[in-house]
Amino acid sequence: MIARAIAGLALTTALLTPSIALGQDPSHEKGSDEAAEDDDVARARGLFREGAALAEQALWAQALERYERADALAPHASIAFNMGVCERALGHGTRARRAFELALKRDAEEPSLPESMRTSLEGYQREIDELMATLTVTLVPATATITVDGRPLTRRGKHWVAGLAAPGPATSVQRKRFVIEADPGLHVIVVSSPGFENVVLRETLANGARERRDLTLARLPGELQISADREGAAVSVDGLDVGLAPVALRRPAGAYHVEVRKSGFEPYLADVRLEPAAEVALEAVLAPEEIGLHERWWFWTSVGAALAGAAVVTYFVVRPEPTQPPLDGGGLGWTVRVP
Amino acid sequence: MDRARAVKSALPLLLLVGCQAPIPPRPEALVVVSTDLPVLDLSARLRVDVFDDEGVWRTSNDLARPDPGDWPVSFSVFTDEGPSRAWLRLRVYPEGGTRRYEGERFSDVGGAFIEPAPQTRLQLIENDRDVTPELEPHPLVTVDRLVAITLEPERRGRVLVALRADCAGTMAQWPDDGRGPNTQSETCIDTWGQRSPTPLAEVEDEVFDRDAPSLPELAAPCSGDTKETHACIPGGATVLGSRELALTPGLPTTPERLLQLSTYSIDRDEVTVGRYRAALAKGHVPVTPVIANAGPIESAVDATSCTWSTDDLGREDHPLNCVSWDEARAFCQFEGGDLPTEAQWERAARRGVDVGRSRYPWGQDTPTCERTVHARWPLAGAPGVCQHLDRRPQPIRAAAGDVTLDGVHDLGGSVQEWVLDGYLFYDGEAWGAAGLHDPSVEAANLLGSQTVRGASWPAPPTFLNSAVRTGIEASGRAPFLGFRCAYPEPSP
Repeated sequence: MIARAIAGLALTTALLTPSIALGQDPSHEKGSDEAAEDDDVARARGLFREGAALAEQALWAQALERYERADALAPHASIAFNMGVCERALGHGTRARRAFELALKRDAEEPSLPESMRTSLEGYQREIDELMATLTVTLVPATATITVDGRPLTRRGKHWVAGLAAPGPATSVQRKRFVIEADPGLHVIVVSSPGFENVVLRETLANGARERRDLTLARLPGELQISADREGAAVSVDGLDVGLAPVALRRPAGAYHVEVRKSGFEPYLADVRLEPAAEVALEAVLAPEEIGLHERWWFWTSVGAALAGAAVVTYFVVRPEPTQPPLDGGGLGWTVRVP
Repeated sequence: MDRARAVKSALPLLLLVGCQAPIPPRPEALVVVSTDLPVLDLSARLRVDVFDDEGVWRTSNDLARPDPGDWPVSFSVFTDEGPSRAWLRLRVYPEGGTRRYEGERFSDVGGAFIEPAPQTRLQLIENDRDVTPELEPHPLVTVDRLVAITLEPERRGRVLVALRADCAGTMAQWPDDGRGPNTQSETCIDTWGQRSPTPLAEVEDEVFDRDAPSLPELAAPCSGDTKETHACIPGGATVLGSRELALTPGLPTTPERLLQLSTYSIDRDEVTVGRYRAALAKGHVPVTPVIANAGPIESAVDATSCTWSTDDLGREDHPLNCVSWDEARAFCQFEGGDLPTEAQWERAARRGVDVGRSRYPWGQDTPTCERTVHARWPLAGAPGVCQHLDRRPQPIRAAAGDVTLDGVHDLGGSVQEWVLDGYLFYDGEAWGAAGLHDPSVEAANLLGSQTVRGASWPAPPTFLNSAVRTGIEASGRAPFLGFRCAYPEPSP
C-alpha cells in the first residue's frame, strides 16, 4: 500500500516539475529598467526565483511560502499559477483550485499568462474537479457548528469548501442539508452544538467520492442536584421517590416537580426546568411545622384535664389504629411498592 | 343476670377492646446489590428497573454510585399485603456508558447491534405521564441482571444480588411481547455468554444487614519484579474503545467493550534497528524482508526514510519501520512473545493516570510538538503542526514526555505500531465471539487489514488519542509504521 502511495507521489512530482519550469517570472514584465522598480517588486522577484528553485527540488511547501510572500508584495497571475501548482503537489486540491481561479481572474483583467500555461491551468482545474470529494451532510440540529481539520468552511456558490480558511472558530452553516467539498484523503470533522454531544468523524475520502453522512447529535441530559438543610429528608421527583437528600440525578431535559419531605417540617416543593447538559442545584430549606395557638402548652393544660376523662372513654370505645412497622429502605432510603 | 355476673361477663370484652393487637409488617425485601467491578472506572452508576408480575414497568431509577463507599447499594421492594412478585432488572455501568433507548434490543452474546422491533419498546407511565428513560446502559459495558422476588405476607428480609464482571455484555432477555420480564426471562448469573432462567431470590428472613459478603478481587497485580526492557501491566477489568470519537467507517473506536485481561508485559520501547540486528544474529529468519535503506534517512515519506540498513549505519537506536505485519509478528514470537492484542496495547497506553483511563499515554495534557514526535508532515490538506521540526523518523525516547506511568515509551508518537488483531468493528461478530477474557481477533478483515495503533512522526495529533485505531494491509511496509512486543507474565 505504501509502495503505491510512494509511487504516486513520485509520479506527481515528475509531472509537476516542468510546470514550475514553465512558470513565468512576473518581474520580466517590468522590463530592464530594474533601477526604477520599487523595493517590493525587487524583493518579489527574488522570492519568486527562490520559490522556483525550491519547486524544482520538489520542496513544495517551502516553494509555496516564497510564492505567497512574493504575491503579497507584487500580486501577479503567474505567481498565483505557481502557488496553485505547489498546492496541488501538496495534495491541497481546494486551495490549488482557488489559486488557479485567482490566476485566471488576474489574467482576465490584465492578460499575462502564455497560452501554454493557460492550457495547463485549465487541465489542472479539470483534474481537481474530478478528484474533489463531496460530502453531503444532513445535520441535526441545523444550528450546530462544524470544522474540518480544525478549520471553518468557506462558502463557494451553493457548496461549502474545506481546507481554505485558516484554523479558527467553527462554521455555523444554518442549514439542515448541505454539501462540503474537500480534498481526497483523511479528514477530521468536528460537529458541536451547545446542549448536545460532540461528534468527531474521521473520514477518509476517496478520489471523486460522493459520500453522505447523517449527523444527528445526541441531546445531553441534565443533572438535577437536590440537597436539604436537614438530614434524612426524602426527595421525590414527579412523585417518584429517588432517595434521601443529597441526591444527584441525570434526567432528560424537561420540567420536573421536586418535593423534599421530612417529618416535623414543612415540605419543600419546587418546579424546575432542566436544560440539556445543564446542572440545576436545589437546596431545600425545611422550615419546622408551625404550631397553632390551639397547640400551645397552656391551651392543652387548660383543656387537657377536661378532655382526659373523655379521652380515656374514647380510647376504650374507639380502638386506635395500631402502627405498622416502618419499611427499611436500605442505604438509599428508597422503597418501591409493587401491587 | 345479676349485676355481679354482668360485670364479670363484660371484663374480658373490655380487656379485649383495650389491648392493642400489633399490625403485621408489610411484606418487604431489602435488596443489597454488590459488584466485583472497580467502582470509579466501571461501575459508577446503577440502573434499577422494577416490573410487577404482569410485566408492567413500575419504576426506574438511575443512581450515581461513584465512590467505593457507595457500595453495596441497598433499597427495599414492598407490597401492601402480598403475596406478590417483583421483577428487578439491575444494571451496573460506567458513567456515560449509555445509548438511546429505542426498545429492547435482545442480541446475541457479544452485543452485535440489533435494531429493536417497535413493539419491544416498553413504556414507563407515572401519573399518566410517559417518563420512559431516554437512555439505557450500553450492554457492552454493562453487567445486566434480572432478579425475581416473591413478597409473602408477613415476611421481611434481605436479598443479596451480585453483579459480576463475568456477565458483562450478556444481556438479560425475555419474550418480546411488549411487556417486561416474566417466568420465561433469562439472565446471566456468573458466566460470560450463558443465561439461565431468572432465579427466584432467596429472602433471608428478618435479616436487615446492608453489607454484603465481599466478592473475589478481579485485579491481578504484577509480581513486583521490574524489568529494564519491558513493563508489567496488571490484569483486571477494563474498557476497550472510546465514545469520545464517534463511530465512523474510518475510526471505529465505539462501542466501548468491557473486558478482562490477564497480567502481561509489554516492551518499554518500540523494537529498534539494533534489536532487530541482534535477533538476526541470534538466528531469527525473516518471513518477509524489512525494506533496507543503504543511504541516510531522508526527510520524506517514502523508502528513503526507512531506518533498517544491512550494515550498521549508526542508527541502531531508531525504531524499526518499513516492516510487514507478518515479519513483526514473527520477530515477536522469536523473542518469546507476540504482537500485543488491541486490548493489551490500549490498556498499556491508557495508564497515564493513577485512576481511570487517560486520553493519551502520558495523561490528559494536550499534545505538544515537544512532548511527542508527531505531525511533522502535512497530511490531507492539514499542515503538519510540528513540521518545523526534523521531518524524519526519530530515535526511540526522542521525546521524553511520551511515557506512561508504567514506563512504556513512545506509545503516542514516533512510529505507529502493528497489533495482533485484524481491523474489525468492535460490535461485529468476530469481537462478539472473542469473548470477555483476553479477547483477540487475529483474522484480518475482508480487505486484509490488520489494526495499527498510535500516531507517528508524520501523523496528525488526532492519532495520539490512545483509543484511535486504523487498518493497514498486513503486507504494508511503511516508514511511519513499526511495532513492539508483548509477553505473558511472568515474562521471559
